[in-house]
Amino acid sequence: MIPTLLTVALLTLLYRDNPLSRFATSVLVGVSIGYVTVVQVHQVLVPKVMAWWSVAPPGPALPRVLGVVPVVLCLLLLLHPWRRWRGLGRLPIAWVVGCYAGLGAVAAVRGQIVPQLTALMRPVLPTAETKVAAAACVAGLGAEVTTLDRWTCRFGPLANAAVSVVGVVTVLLMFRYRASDSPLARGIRGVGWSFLMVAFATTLAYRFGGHVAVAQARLDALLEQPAITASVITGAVVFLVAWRRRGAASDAPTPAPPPSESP
Amino acid sequence: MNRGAQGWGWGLGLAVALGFARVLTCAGPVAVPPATQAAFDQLQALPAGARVLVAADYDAATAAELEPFLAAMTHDLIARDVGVVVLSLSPEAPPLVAPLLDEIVAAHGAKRGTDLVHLGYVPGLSAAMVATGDALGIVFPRDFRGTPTADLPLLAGVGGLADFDLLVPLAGGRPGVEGWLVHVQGRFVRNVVAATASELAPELAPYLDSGQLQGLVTGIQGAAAFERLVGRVGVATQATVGQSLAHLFLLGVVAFAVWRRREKGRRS
Repeated sequence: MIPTLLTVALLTLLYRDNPLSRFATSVLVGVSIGYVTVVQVHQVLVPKVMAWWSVAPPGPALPRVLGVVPVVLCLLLLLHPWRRWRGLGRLPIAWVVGCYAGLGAVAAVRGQIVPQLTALMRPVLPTAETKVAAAACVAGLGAEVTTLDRWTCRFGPLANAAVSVVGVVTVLLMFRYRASDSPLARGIRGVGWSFLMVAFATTLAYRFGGHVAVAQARLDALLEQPAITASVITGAVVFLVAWRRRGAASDAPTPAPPPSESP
Repeated sequence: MNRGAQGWGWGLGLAVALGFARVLTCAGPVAVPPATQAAFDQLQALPAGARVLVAADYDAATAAELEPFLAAMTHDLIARDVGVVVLSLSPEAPPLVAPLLDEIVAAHGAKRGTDLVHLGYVPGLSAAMVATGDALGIVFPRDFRGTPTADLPLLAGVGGLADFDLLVPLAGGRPGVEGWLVHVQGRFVRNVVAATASELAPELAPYLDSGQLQGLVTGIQGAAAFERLVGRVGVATQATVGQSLAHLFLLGVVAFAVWRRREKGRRS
Protein backbone atom coordinates (compact mmCIF):
# COMPACT_ATOMS: atom_id res chain seq x y z
CA MET A 1 0.00 0.00 0.00
CA ILE A 2 2.70 2.52 1.01
CA PRO A 3 4.94 1.88 -2.06
CA THR A 4 1.88 2.23 -4.30
CA LEU A 5 0.87 5.48 -2.59
CA LEU A 6 4.36 6.96 -2.87
CA THR A 7 4.82 5.86 -6.49
CA VAL A 8 1.51 7.39 -7.58
CA ALA A 9 2.20 10.53 -5.54
CA LEU A 10 5.56 11.00 -7.26
CA LEU A 11 4.05 10.32 -10.68
CA THR A 12 1.61 13.21 -10.16
CA LEU A 13 4.67 15.39 -10.78
CA LEU A 14 4.05 14.63 -14.46
CA TYR A 15 1.02 16.89 -14.19
CA ARG A 16 2.67 19.71 -12.23
CA ASP A 17 4.30 20.42 -8.88
CA ASN A 18 1.62 19.73 -6.25
CA PRO A 19 1.31 18.93 -2.51
CA LEU A 20 1.16 15.16 -3.15
CA SER A 21 4.43 15.09 -5.07
CA ARG A 22 6.05 17.44 -2.53
CA PHE A 23 4.96 15.14 0.30
CA ALA A 24 6.40 12.07 -1.46
CA THR A 25 9.67 13.88 -2.19
CA SER A 26 9.98 14.97 1.44
CA VAL A 27 9.30 11.39 2.62
CA LEU A 28 11.95 10.07 0.21
CA VAL A 29 14.60 12.53 1.36
CA GLY A 30 13.72 12.19 5.05
CA VAL A 31 13.65 8.40 5.02
CA SER A 32 16.93 8.22 3.07
CA ILE A 33 18.75 10.51 5.50
CA GLY A 34 17.21 8.81 8.53
CA TYR A 35 18.07 5.36 7.24
CA VAL A 36 21.66 6.23 6.39
CA THR A 37 22.09 7.85 9.82
CA VAL A 38 20.79 4.76 11.60
CA VAL A 39 23.02 2.48 9.51
CA GLN A 40 26.09 4.63 10.18
CA VAL A 41 25.42 4.65 13.92
CA HIS A 42 24.55 0.95 14.28
CA GLN A 43 26.92 -0.59 11.74
CA VAL A 44 29.84 1.84 11.87
CA LEU A 45 30.01 3.99 14.97
CA VAL A 46 28.90 1.47 17.59
CA PRO A 47 30.62 -1.72 16.36
CA LYS A 48 33.81 -0.12 15.04
CA VAL A 49 34.44 2.45 17.75
CA MET A 50 32.42 1.87 20.94
CA ALA A 51 32.55 -1.94 20.93
CA TRP A 52 36.27 -1.81 20.39
CA TRP A 53 36.67 -1.23 24.10
CA SER A 54 33.90 -3.42 25.50
CA VAL A 55 34.44 -6.58 23.45
CA ALA A 56 37.68 -7.83 21.94
CA PRO A 57 37.29 -7.51 18.16
CA PRO A 58 37.34 -10.79 16.27
CA GLY A 59 39.91 -11.32 13.56
CA PRO A 60 43.54 -10.24 13.64
CA ALA A 61 44.46 -8.53 16.91
CA LEU A 62 45.13 -4.81 16.68
CA PRO A 63 46.19 -2.47 19.44
CA ARG A 64 43.11 -1.21 21.26
CA VAL A 65 44.53 2.28 21.30
CA LEU A 66 43.76 2.56 17.57
CA GLY A 67 40.07 2.78 18.52
CA VAL A 68 40.76 6.19 20.08
CA VAL A 69 41.92 7.77 16.81
CA PRO A 70 38.53 7.94 15.02
CA VAL A 71 36.80 9.09 18.24
CA VAL A 72 39.27 11.95 18.67
CA LEU A 73 38.92 12.92 14.99
CA CYS A 74 35.11 12.93 15.28
CA LEU A 75 35.28 15.13 18.38
CA LEU A 76 37.68 17.51 16.65
CA LEU A 77 35.27 17.79 13.72
CA LEU A 78 32.57 18.96 16.12
CA LEU A 79 34.79 21.93 17.03
CA HIS A 80 34.68 23.29 13.48
CA PRO A 81 31.78 25.78 13.99
CA TRP A 82 33.73 27.72 16.66
CA ARG A 83 36.17 30.16 15.10
CA ARG A 84 38.65 29.82 17.96
CA TRP A 85 38.91 26.03 17.54
CA ARG A 86 38.44 25.93 13.78
CA GLY A 87 42.12 25.04 13.24
CA LEU A 88 41.66 21.88 15.27
CA GLY A 89 38.39 21.16 13.46
CA ARG A 90 40.26 21.20 10.14
CA LEU A 91 42.55 18.37 11.23
CA PRO A 92 40.10 15.50 10.53
CA ILE A 93 39.11 17.11 7.22
CA ALA A 94 42.78 17.40 6.27
CA TRP A 95 43.30 13.77 7.30
CA VAL A 96 40.43 12.56 5.10
CA VAL A 97 41.37 14.77 2.13
CA GLY A 98 45.01 13.72 2.41
CA CYS A 99 44.20 10.02 2.57
CA TYR A 100 41.81 10.12 -0.39
CA ALA A 101 44.13 12.36 -2.44
CA GLY A 102 46.95 9.87 -1.89
CA LEU A 103 44.74 6.94 -2.81
CA GLY A 104 43.39 8.79 -5.84
CA ALA A 105 46.83 9.76 -7.14
CA VAL A 106 48.16 6.23 -6.92
CA ALA A 107 44.98 4.81 -8.47
CA ALA A 108 45.04 7.34 -11.34
CA VAL A 109 48.60 6.40 -12.29
CA ARG A 110 48.34 2.66 -11.65
CA GLY A 111 44.77 2.07 -12.82
CA GLN A 112 44.15 4.68 -15.50
CA ILE A 113 47.11 6.53 -17.02
CA VAL A 114 49.53 3.61 -17.48
CA PRO A 115 47.08 0.86 -18.56
CA GLN A 116 45.00 3.14 -20.78
CA LEU A 117 48.01 4.66 -22.55
CA THR A 118 49.51 1.20 -22.96
CA ALA A 119 46.24 -0.06 -24.46
CA LEU A 120 46.08 2.93 -26.76
CA MET A 121 49.66 2.46 -27.99
CA ARG A 122 49.44 -1.32 -28.36
CA PRO A 123 47.92 -1.36 -31.89
CA VAL A 124 50.35 1.32 -33.07
CA LEU A 125 53.44 -0.70 -32.22
CA PRO A 126 54.05 -3.73 -34.49
CA THR A 127 54.72 -6.13 -31.60
CA ALA A 128 54.34 -9.89 -31.57
CA GLU A 129 51.26 -9.45 -29.37
CA THR A 130 49.57 -7.30 -32.05
CA LYS A 131 50.23 -9.95 -34.71
CA VAL A 132 48.91 -12.72 -32.47
CA ALA A 133 45.74 -10.71 -31.76
CA ALA A 134 45.21 -10.08 -35.49
CA ALA A 135 45.72 -13.80 -36.24
CA ALA A 136 43.23 -14.74 -33.51
CA CYS A 137 40.75 -12.24 -34.95
CA VAL A 138 41.07 -13.77 -38.44
CA ALA A 139 40.79 -17.30 -37.03
CA GLY A 140 37.60 -16.31 -35.20
CA LEU A 141 35.91 -15.28 -38.47
CA GLY A 142 35.59 -18.85 -39.73
CA ALA A 143 36.53 -20.51 -42.99
CA GLU A 144 35.56 -17.85 -45.55
CA VAL A 145 37.81 -14.91 -44.82
CA THR A 146 38.02 -12.08 -47.33
CA THR A 147 40.87 -9.63 -47.80
CA LEU A 148 38.68 -6.94 -46.23
CA ASP A 149 38.27 -9.11 -43.12
CA ARG A 150 42.05 -9.51 -42.88
CA TRP A 151 42.55 -5.76 -43.23
CA THR A 152 39.86 -5.12 -40.63
CA CYS A 153 41.55 -7.46 -38.17
CA ARG A 154 45.00 -6.04 -38.85
CA PHE A 155 44.19 -2.34 -39.00
CA GLY A 156 40.87 -2.12 -37.09
CA PRO A 157 42.52 -1.67 -33.67
CA LEU A 158 44.85 0.91 -35.22
CA ALA A 159 41.87 2.84 -36.59
CA ASN A 160 40.19 2.66 -33.17
CA ALA A 161 43.30 4.06 -31.52
CA ALA A 162 43.54 6.83 -34.14
CA VAL A 163 39.88 7.80 -33.60
CA SER A 164 40.45 7.86 -29.82
CA VAL A 165 43.47 10.13 -30.19
CA VAL A 166 41.69 12.47 -32.60
CA GLY A 167 38.68 12.62 -30.24
CA VAL A 168 40.73 13.40 -27.15
CA VAL A 169 42.90 16.00 -28.88
CA THR A 170 40.08 17.83 -30.68
CA VAL A 171 37.85 17.98 -27.58
CA LEU A 172 40.72 19.38 -25.51
CA LEU A 173 41.62 21.91 -28.22
CA MET A 174 37.96 22.83 -28.63
CA PHE A 175 37.85 24.16 -25.09
CA ARG A 176 41.27 25.79 -25.44
CA TYR A 177 40.42 27.71 -28.66
CA ARG A 178 36.71 28.28 -28.13
CA ALA A 179 37.04 32.03 -28.71
CA SER A 180 39.25 31.88 -31.82
CA ASP A 181 37.59 32.48 -35.19
CA SER A 182 40.26 31.08 -37.53
CA PRO A 183 39.20 28.36 -40.03
CA LEU A 184 41.45 25.81 -38.27
CA ALA A 185 39.88 26.53 -34.87
CA ARG A 186 36.39 26.30 -36.37
CA GLY A 187 37.27 22.95 -37.92
CA ILE A 188 38.67 21.61 -34.65
CA ARG A 189 35.59 22.85 -32.79
CA GLY A 190 33.35 21.08 -35.31
CA VAL A 191 35.16 17.76 -34.94
CA GLY A 192 35.39 18.07 -31.13
CA TRP A 193 31.73 19.01 -30.90
CA SER A 194 30.79 15.95 -32.99
CA PHE A 195 32.70 13.70 -30.61
CA LEU A 196 31.00 15.29 -27.61
CA MET A 197 27.55 14.92 -29.17
CA VAL A 198 28.15 11.25 -29.96
CA ALA A 199 29.27 10.68 -26.36
CA PHE A 200 26.25 12.53 -24.92
CA ALA A 201 23.81 10.76 -27.24
CA THR A 202 25.23 7.35 -26.30
CA THR A 203 24.97 8.11 -22.59
CA LEU A 204 21.44 9.47 -23.02
CA ALA A 205 20.31 6.39 -24.94
CA TYR A 206 21.72 4.08 -22.28
CA ARG A 207 20.15 6.23 -19.55
CA PHE A 208 16.74 6.01 -21.21
CA GLY A 209 17.02 2.21 -21.24
CA GLY A 210 17.89 2.22 -17.54
CA HIS A 211 14.98 4.46 -16.62
CA VAL A 212 12.60 2.29 -18.63
CA ALA A 213 13.78 -0.71 -16.60
CA VAL A 214 13.01 1.15 -13.36
CA ALA A 215 9.60 2.27 -14.68
CA GLN A 216 8.83 -1.29 -15.70
CA ALA A 217 9.72 -2.64 -12.26
CA ARG A 218 7.46 -0.05 -10.58
CA LEU A 219 4.64 -0.74 -13.02
CA ASP A 220 4.91 -4.47 -12.35
CA ALA A 221 4.72 -3.77 -8.62
CA LEU A 222 1.63 -1.57 -9.13
CA LEU A 223 -0.11 -4.15 -11.29
CA GLU A 224 0.41 -6.86 -8.71
CA GLN A 225 -2.23 -5.13 -6.56
CA PRO A 226 -4.69 -3.75 -9.12
CA ALA A 227 -7.47 -2.89 -6.63
CA ILE A 228 -5.21 -0.86 -4.36
CA THR A 229 -3.52 0.82 -7.34
CA ALA A 230 -6.89 1.80 -8.87
CA SER A 231 -8.08 3.22 -5.53
CA VAL A 232 -4.89 5.20 -5.02
CA ILE A 233 -4.93 6.60 -8.57
CA THR A 234 -8.60 7.59 -8.17
CA GLY A 235 -7.82 9.28 -4.86
CA ALA A 236 -4.86 11.13 -6.39
CA VAL A 237 -6.94 12.36 -9.35
CA VAL A 238 -9.75 13.54 -7.03
CA PHE A 239 -7.20 15.33 -4.86
CA LEU A 240 -5.57 17.04 -7.85
CA VAL A 241 -8.94 18.19 -9.22
CA ALA A 242 -9.96 19.58 -5.81
CA TRP A 243 -6.56 21.22 -5.35
CA ARG A 244 -6.75 22.83 -8.79
CA ARG A 245 -10.27 24.15 -8.19
CA ARG A 246 -9.27 25.56 -4.86
CA GLY A 247 -6.23 27.19 -6.47
CA ALA A 248 -8.41 28.64 -9.25
CA ALA A 249 -10.86 30.02 -6.68
CA SER A 250 -8.11 31.65 -4.64
CA ASP A 251 -6.49 33.08 -7.81
CA ALA A 252 -9.76 34.67 -8.98
CA PRO A 253 -9.60 38.50 -8.88
CA THR A 254 -11.36 39.95 -5.88
CA PRO A 255 -14.12 42.47 -6.77
CA ALA A 256 -13.10 46.09 -6.29
CA PRO A 257 -14.72 47.79 -3.26
CA PRO A 258 -17.53 50.23 -4.11
CA PRO A 259 -16.41 53.87 -4.20
CA SER A 260 -17.05 55.53 -0.88
CA GLU A 261 -19.45 58.40 -0.93
CA SER A 262 -17.89 61.69 -0.01
CA PRO A 263 -19.62 63.53 2.82
CA MET B 1 -0.50 21.48 -25.60
CA ASN B 2 0.43 22.69 -22.09
CA ARG B 3 3.19 21.18 -20.00
CA GLY B 4 0.87 19.25 -17.65
CA ALA B 5 -0.92 17.58 -20.56
CA GLN B 6 2.44 16.74 -22.17
CA GLY B 7 3.57 15.13 -18.92
CA TRP B 8 0.43 13.03 -18.64
CA GLY B 9 0.78 12.08 -22.31
CA TRP B 10 4.35 10.91 -21.80
CA GLY B 11 3.52 8.99 -18.63
CA LEU B 12 0.37 7.37 -19.98
CA GLY B 13 1.99 6.44 -23.29
CA LEU B 14 4.94 4.80 -21.56
CA ALA B 15 2.64 3.09 -19.04
CA VAL B 16 0.45 1.69 -21.84
CA ALA B 17 3.53 0.42 -23.72
CA LEU B 18 4.95 -1.25 -20.60
CA GLY B 19 1.55 -2.56 -19.50
CA PHE B 20 0.98 -4.09 -22.95
CA ALA B 21 4.39 -5.75 -22.67
CA ARG B 22 3.33 -7.28 -19.37
CA VAL B 23 0.23 -8.78 -20.96
CA LEU B 24 2.30 -10.41 -23.71
CA THR B 25 3.69 -13.72 -22.56
CA CYS B 26 6.43 -14.01 -25.18
CA ALA B 27 9.99 -12.82 -24.56
CA GLY B 28 11.68 -10.39 -26.90
CA PRO B 29 14.75 -11.18 -29.00
CA VAL B 30 17.88 -11.29 -26.85
CA ALA B 31 21.24 -10.74 -28.51
CA VAL B 32 24.35 -11.62 -26.52
CA PRO B 33 26.94 -8.80 -26.60
CA PRO B 34 30.61 -9.93 -26.71
CA ALA B 35 31.28 -8.33 -23.30
CA THR B 36 28.44 -10.33 -21.72
CA GLN B 37 29.66 -13.51 -23.40
CA ALA B 38 33.14 -12.82 -21.98
CA ALA B 39 31.68 -12.35 -18.49
CA PHE B 40 29.79 -15.62 -18.81
CA ASP B 41 32.94 -17.43 -20.00
CA GLN B 42 34.93 -16.15 -17.02
CA LEU B 43 32.24 -17.28 -14.57
CA GLN B 44 31.87 -20.66 -16.23
CA ALA B 45 35.63 -21.25 -16.07
CA LEU B 46 35.47 -21.25 -12.26
CA PRO B 47 35.80 -24.79 -10.87
CA ALA B 48 33.76 -26.15 -7.95
CA GLY B 49 35.25 -24.91 -4.68
CA ALA B 50 36.37 -21.58 -6.16
CA ARG B 51 35.54 -18.33 -4.34
CA VAL B 52 33.93 -15.25 -5.90
CA LEU B 53 33.72 -11.85 -4.22
CA VAL B 54 30.64 -9.88 -5.28
CA ALA B 55 30.58 -6.16 -4.47
CA ALA B 56 26.89 -5.25 -4.59
CA ASP B 57 27.06 -1.44 -4.60
CA TYR B 58 23.65 -0.52 -5.95
CA ASP B 59 20.68 1.34 -4.49
CA ALA B 60 16.93 1.37 -5.03
CA ALA B 61 17.26 3.52 -8.17
CA THR B 62 19.45 0.99 -9.99
CA ALA B 63 18.26 -2.24 -8.36
CA ALA B 64 15.85 -2.94 -11.24
CA GLU B 65 18.81 -3.13 -13.65
CA LEU B 66 21.34 -4.96 -11.49
CA GLU B 67 19.35 -7.39 -9.34
CA PRO B 68 18.35 -9.70 -12.24
CA PHE B 69 22.03 -10.29 -13.05
CA LEU B 70 22.94 -10.79 -9.38
CA ALA B 71 20.13 -13.34 -9.05
CA ALA B 72 21.03 -15.23 -12.23
CA MET B 73 24.75 -15.28 -11.45
CA THR B 74 24.37 -16.32 -7.79
CA HIS B 75 21.89 -19.08 -8.67
CA ASP B 76 24.36 -20.41 -11.26
CA LEU B 77 27.41 -20.20 -8.98
CA ILE B 78 25.71 -21.81 -5.96
CA ALA B 79 24.39 -24.60 -8.19
CA ARG B 80 27.97 -25.29 -9.34
CA ASP B 81 29.37 -25.28 -5.76
CA VAL B 82 31.26 -22.04 -6.21
CA GLY B 83 31.45 -20.04 -2.97
CA VAL B 84 29.93 -16.55 -3.11
CA VAL B 85 30.91 -13.73 -0.73
CA VAL B 86 28.85 -10.53 -0.99
CA LEU B 87 29.80 -7.13 0.43
CA SER B 88 28.51 -3.59 -0.11
CA LEU B 89 30.08 -0.15 -0.03
CA SER B 90 26.64 1.46 -0.30
CA PRO B 91 24.55 1.61 2.90
CA GLU B 92 21.36 1.14 0.89
CA ALA B 93 22.46 -2.14 -0.68
CA PRO B 94 22.37 -4.72 2.18
CA PRO B 95 18.59 -4.55 2.80
CA LEU B 96 18.04 -4.95 -0.95
CA VAL B 97 20.51 -7.81 -1.29
CA ALA B 98 19.58 -9.78 1.86
CA PRO B 99 16.08 -11.00 0.76
CA LEU B 100 17.45 -12.04 -2.62
CA LEU B 101 20.24 -14.05 -1.02
CA ASP B 102 17.77 -15.64 1.43
CA GLU B 103 15.66 -16.74 -1.53
CA ILE B 104 18.68 -18.24 -3.33
CA VAL B 105 19.88 -20.05 -0.19
CA ALA B 106 16.40 -21.51 0.31
CA ALA B 107 16.07 -22.53 -3.37
CA HIS B 108 19.32 -24.50 -3.41
CA GLY B 109 19.33 -25.72 0.18
CA ALA B 110 22.69 -23.98 0.52
CA LYS B 111 24.45 -23.36 3.82
CA ARG B 112 25.21 -19.85 5.01
CA GLY B 113 28.85 -19.47 5.86
CA THR B 114 29.83 -22.48 3.75
CA ASP B 115 28.31 -21.76 0.34
CA LEU B 116 27.41 -18.12 0.70
CA VAL B 117 28.46 -15.26 2.99
CA HIS B 118 26.82 -11.84 3.19
CA LEU B 119 29.27 -9.43 4.82
CA GLY B 120 27.04 -6.36 4.72
CA TYR B 121 28.07 -2.72 4.50
CA VAL B 122 31.40 -1.05 5.13
CA PRO B 123 31.99 2.72 4.89
CA GLY B 124 34.94 4.41 3.23
CA LEU B 125 34.46 3.73 -0.51
CA SER B 126 37.92 3.72 -2.12
CA ALA B 127 39.69 3.46 1.25
CA ALA B 128 37.53 0.43 2.06
CA MET B 129 38.34 -1.14 -1.32
CA VAL B 130 42.07 -0.93 -0.64
CA ALA B 131 41.64 -2.06 2.97
CA THR B 132 39.59 -5.06 1.80
CA GLY B 133 42.39 -5.94 -0.56
CA ASP B 134 44.86 -5.98 2.30
CA ALA B 135 42.88 -7.64 5.08
CA LEU B 136 39.25 -8.66 4.71
CA GLY B 137 39.01 -9.92 8.29
CA ILE B 138 39.85 -6.51 9.79
CA VAL B 139 37.43 -4.61 7.56
CA PHE B 140 34.65 -7.13 8.23
CA PRO B 141 35.11 -8.61 11.73
CA ARG B 142 31.49 -9.86 11.54
CA ASP B 143 29.09 -10.69 8.71
CA PHE B 144 25.68 -9.09 8.09
CA ARG B 145 24.06 -11.34 10.72
CA GLY B 146 26.71 -10.70 13.36
CA THR B 147 28.62 -13.98 13.04
CA PRO B 148 32.40 -13.49 13.45
CA THR B 149 33.96 -13.90 10.01
CA ALA B 150 36.77 -15.94 11.53
CA ASP B 151 34.17 -18.68 12.21
CA LEU B 152 32.88 -18.85 8.62
CA PRO B 153 34.22 -21.88 6.70
CA LEU B 154 34.00 -20.12 3.33
CA LEU B 155 36.40 -17.44 4.55
CA ALA B 156 38.87 -19.86 6.11
CA GLY B 157 42.34 -18.97 4.89
CA VAL B 158 41.18 -15.77 3.23
CA GLY B 159 43.54 -12.89 3.94
CA GLY B 160 42.53 -10.37 1.30
CA LEU B 161 41.23 -10.07 -2.23
CA ALA B 162 44.14 -12.07 -3.64
CA ASP B 163 42.52 -15.20 -2.17
CA PHE B 164 39.46 -14.86 -4.40
CA ASP B 165 39.34 -16.32 -7.89
CA LEU B 166 37.15 -13.59 -9.33
CA LEU B 167 35.89 -10.16 -8.32
CA VAL B 168 32.44 -9.13 -9.54
CA PRO B 169 31.50 -5.52 -8.77
CA LEU B 170 27.88 -4.55 -9.43
CA ALA B 171 27.37 -0.81 -9.30
CA GLY B 172 25.10 1.89 -10.58
CA GLY B 173 27.05 4.91 -9.34
CA ARG B 174 30.50 6.16 -8.42
CA PRO B 175 33.17 5.12 -7.57
CA GLY B 176 31.46 1.80 -8.35
CA VAL B 177 33.03 -0.50 -10.89
CA GLU B 178 35.62 2.07 -11.95
CA GLY B 179 36.74 2.44 -8.33
CA TRP B 180 37.27 -1.30 -7.96
CA LEU B 181 39.22 -1.37 -11.25
CA VAL B 182 41.61 1.48 -10.51
CA HIS B 183 42.19 0.69 -6.83
CA VAL B 184 42.16 -3.09 -6.73
CA GLN B 185 42.56 -4.68 -10.16
CA GLY B 186 46.17 -5.56 -10.90
CA ARG B 187 47.20 -4.83 -7.33
CA PHE B 188 45.24 -7.43 -5.37
CA VAL B 189 43.14 -9.31 -7.90
CA ARG B 190 43.70 -10.16 -11.55
CA ASN B 191 40.29 -11.17 -12.91
CA VAL B 192 37.36 -8.77 -12.73
CA VAL B 193 33.94 -9.15 -14.32
CA ALA B 194 31.41 -6.39 -13.71
CA ALA B 195 27.78 -5.44 -14.06
CA THR B 196 26.70 -1.85 -14.29
CA ALA B 197 23.69 0.35 -14.87
CA SER B 198 23.18 1.21 -18.55
CA GLU B 199 24.26 4.83 -18.32
CA LEU B 200 27.76 3.95 -17.03
CA ALA B 201 28.52 1.44 -19.79
CA PRO B 202 30.28 3.91 -22.14
CA GLU B 203 32.63 4.95 -19.33
CA LEU B 204 33.69 1.35 -18.72
CA ALA B 205 34.34 0.45 -22.37
CA PRO B 206 38.00 1.61 -22.25
CA TYR B 207 38.65 -0.81 -19.37
CA LEU B 208 37.39 -3.68 -21.52
CA ASP B 209 39.74 -2.65 -24.33
CA SER B 210 42.72 -2.39 -21.97
CA GLY B 211 42.04 -5.83 -20.51
CA GLN B 212 41.53 -4.54 -16.97
CA LEU B 213 37.92 -5.72 -17.17
CA GLN B 214 37.37 -9.22 -18.52
CA GLY B 215 33.61 -9.00 -19.03
CA LEU B 216 30.77 -6.53 -18.61
CA VAL B 217 27.04 -7.03 -18.19
CA THR B 218 25.20 -3.82 -19.00
CA GLY B 219 21.77 -2.99 -17.63
CA ILE B 220 18.65 -5.04 -18.11
CA GLN B 221 19.57 -6.06 -21.69
CA GLY B 222 22.90 -7.47 -20.51
CA ALA B 223 21.12 -9.28 -17.68
CA ALA B 224 18.65 -10.77 -20.18
CA ALA B 225 21.56 -11.97 -22.33
CA PHE B 226 23.21 -13.49 -19.25
CA GLU B 227 19.95 -15.22 -18.28
CA ARG B 228 19.83 -16.70 -21.78
CA LEU B 229 23.41 -17.96 -21.46
CA VAL B 230 22.83 -19.63 -18.08
CA GLY B 231 19.48 -20.99 -19.31
CA ARG B 232 17.37 -19.30 -16.72
CA VAL B 233 14.32 -17.21 -17.69
CA GLY B 234 14.05 -14.44 -15.13
CA VAL B 235 12.89 -10.88 -14.69
CA ALA B 236 15.33 -9.48 -17.26
CA THR B 237 14.17 -11.80 -20.06
CA GLN B 238 10.56 -10.87 -19.36
CA ALA B 239 11.49 -7.18 -19.44
CA THR B 240 12.91 -7.28 -22.98
CA VAL B 241 9.49 -6.84 -24.64
CA GLY B 242 8.83 -3.79 -22.46
CA GLN B 243 12.20 -2.32 -23.39
CA SER B 244 11.49 -2.80 -27.09
CA LEU B 245 7.99 -1.29 -26.87
CA ALA B 246 9.26 1.64 -24.80
CA HIS B 247 11.91 2.38 -27.42
CA LEU B 248 9.28 2.15 -30.17
CA PHE B 249 7.15 4.60 -28.18
CA LEU B 250 10.14 6.96 -27.93
CA LEU B 251 10.70 6.73 -31.69
CA GLY B 252 7.00 7.54 -32.18
CA VAL B 253 7.32 10.60 -29.94
CA VAL B 254 10.36 11.82 -31.88
CA ALA B 255 8.56 11.28 -35.21
CA PHE B 256 5.48 13.14 -33.85
CA ALA B 257 7.66 16.04 -32.67
CA VAL B 258 9.38 16.32 -36.07
CA TRP B 259 6.03 16.19 -37.90
CA ARG B 260 4.52 18.84 -35.60
CA ARG B 261 7.47 21.15 -36.08
CA ARG B 262 7.17 20.85 -39.85
CA GLU B 263 3.46 21.59 -39.67
CA LYS B 264 4.11 24.68 -37.56
CA GLY B 265 6.76 25.85 -40.01
CA ARG B 266 4.39 25.31 -42.94
CA ARG B 267 1.61 27.29 -41.25
CA SER B 268 3.85 30.20 -40.31
